[in-house]
Amino acid sequence: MSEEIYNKLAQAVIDGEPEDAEELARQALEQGADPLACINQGLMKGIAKVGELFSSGEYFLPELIIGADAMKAALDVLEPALMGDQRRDVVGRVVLGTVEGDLHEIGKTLVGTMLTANGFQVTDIGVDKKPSEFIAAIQEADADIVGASALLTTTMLQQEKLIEALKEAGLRDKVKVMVGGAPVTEGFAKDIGADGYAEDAISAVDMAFRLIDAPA
Amino acid sequence: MPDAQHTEAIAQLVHEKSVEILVEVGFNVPDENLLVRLERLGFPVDSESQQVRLTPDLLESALATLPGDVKLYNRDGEVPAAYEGGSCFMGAGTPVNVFDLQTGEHRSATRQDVRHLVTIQDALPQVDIVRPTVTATDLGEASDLVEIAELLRNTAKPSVHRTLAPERVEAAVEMLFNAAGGKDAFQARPNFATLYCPISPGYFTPENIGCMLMWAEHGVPVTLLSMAMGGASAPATLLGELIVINLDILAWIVVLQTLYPGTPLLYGSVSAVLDMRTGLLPLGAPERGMINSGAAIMGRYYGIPSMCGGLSSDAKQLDAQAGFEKVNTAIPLLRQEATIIYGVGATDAGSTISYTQMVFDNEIIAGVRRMWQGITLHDPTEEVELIKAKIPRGNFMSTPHTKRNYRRHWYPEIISRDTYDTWTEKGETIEGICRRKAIDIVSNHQPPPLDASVEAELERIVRRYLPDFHFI
Repeated sequence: MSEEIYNKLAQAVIDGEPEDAEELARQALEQGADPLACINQGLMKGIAKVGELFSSGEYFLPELIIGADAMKAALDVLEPALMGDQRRDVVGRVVLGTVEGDLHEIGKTLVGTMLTANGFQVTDIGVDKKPSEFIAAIQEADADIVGASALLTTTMLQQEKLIEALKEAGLRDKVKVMVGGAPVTEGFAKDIGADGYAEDAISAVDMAFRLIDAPA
Repeated sequence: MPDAQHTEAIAQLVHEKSVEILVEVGFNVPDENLLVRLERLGFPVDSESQQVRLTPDLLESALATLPGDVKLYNRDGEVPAAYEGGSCFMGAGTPVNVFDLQTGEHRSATRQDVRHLVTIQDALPQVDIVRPTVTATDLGEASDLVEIAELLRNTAKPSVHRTLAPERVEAAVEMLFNAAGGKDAFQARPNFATLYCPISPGYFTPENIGCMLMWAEHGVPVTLLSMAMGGASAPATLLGELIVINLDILAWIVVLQTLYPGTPLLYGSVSAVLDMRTGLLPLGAPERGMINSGAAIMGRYYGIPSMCGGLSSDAKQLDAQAGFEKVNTAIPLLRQEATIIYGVGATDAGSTISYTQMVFDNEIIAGVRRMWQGITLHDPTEEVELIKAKIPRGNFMSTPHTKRNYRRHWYPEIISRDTYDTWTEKGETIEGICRRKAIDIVSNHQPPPLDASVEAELERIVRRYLPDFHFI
């Protein structure tokens, strides 16, 4: 019985059906299934399969993103139902945002999806965020990595300001900094003292694994 | 045009659907003062959500004041010849990276690059409109003023650029009017247009709104330049993306015409379609030229000039990919008679400007312009008489008819038509030839000099923002 619901949850993620995933999660809880097992043996298996299909070139980004959306829809139901000290396994915790003065959303969201699909817990704080807002989120989430996005040649300089602010807050040694966005280059990332740079969402995942020193 | 009916149907449909969306849902205006002004002028405004809608009346009166015949003039008050029945080609821009002139190294662009790249565009005969093409990263944010000064100083051709912040528009306008010999002289024959991009769908940043309003108030032509990304900031179908492009532009045509009736506007799009394998935005894709040909169609529908992104490439060097993509993305724009084709010098998905590509683009443009002439229809009496006289086995080479006509055909300056032996003996690659030509232009080309007093004035204006500034 439980096996069947796990498989259905996995399949909803693979098929990219957020509404089905949410409904299945509800049904699972009603039937008394263990929420942590639903996550680990259902959703995580599904997203792993999605990642596999993406790597082999069968799935493109839209299937990946909608798969992650399905996973998130079910997680929103299952996570509050976790019992006692049950906690979902995560590879690492990441805070993501677009820097102050910049309203570009899509690239950053894509990075968040890719990281989620690879087992990271992602807190996406949105766009036009001050260093103080990044810092508050880092502390709240106990983040291992912070990712700052900038699409404009004028706002990329804010990435440096974030790094300065992290130093002042005494967090620079506790959190790795990843930067990205169209005008950002590896050289720029090095110049401003970032730990990592990735040119697209896929290499951002590799970089994140490298930064937390975990096997991808 | 062979497909006039098809394009008319697209234009009509895209217009109707954009109007439907702008009347029902509207667009976002993150500027409280402007919201108040728009509400007074009769726009339905929701000040809570900062959402503004159009009405059919506002649309109608805006389209009635929209000036049609907007052209850019060179310093001597002439328009580029390409405006006559063809497309003008314009420099790309303005990324922060360049492939070095001498070494080809990928590095940050500087003020010196701006000067050199403007000088090269001035010298290349197929480039009609000049852009700084790169951002000078060694000057801070006020680099925009220096870039405009370098345009005015290093080319007599018309140019296009923008300021990044409203607080520098006055200074930029002062430079332009000064160089043109006054406001009236500039407005009668503008040699400069500016450009601003929305964040699709339905949003312009407060900075860009501030800049646009000020430029429009001074009567400087403004290009509303969509940068939609099909599949991300717009629907994945080209028709759906074109509706987003059009609603973003049409909304601000109406706003700017209502606030400043008669403001010269250009219809621009440097849009593309997202690569769903990587999330990157490829600019050498066939869809790049296809979607931006939509801007040419819609510009024509509203009777205003179009500025369309094409002649673009994702290649990182001057190779087969660069050649294929540059031509492939220009053809749909030529086919729809885009007024201005935006892309000279761009490589690496628009992220890096290349000196050698810029020189080679001149060759590509010359070639496609020739191809575009097709077989002309004329009275062939002379040819017929000649053929009759030459049958059988006659030679046409020494006839006056040949002498008068053969130069209509294209003669490349860079492409090799040599035999294998000659080519081997010369031992020079396309890249090598382009680099040699670029260095030669930078070392020897003298753009027509500006009046010394005008130049001193430009310098004085820039110094308000960069105190130690002087021209090099």
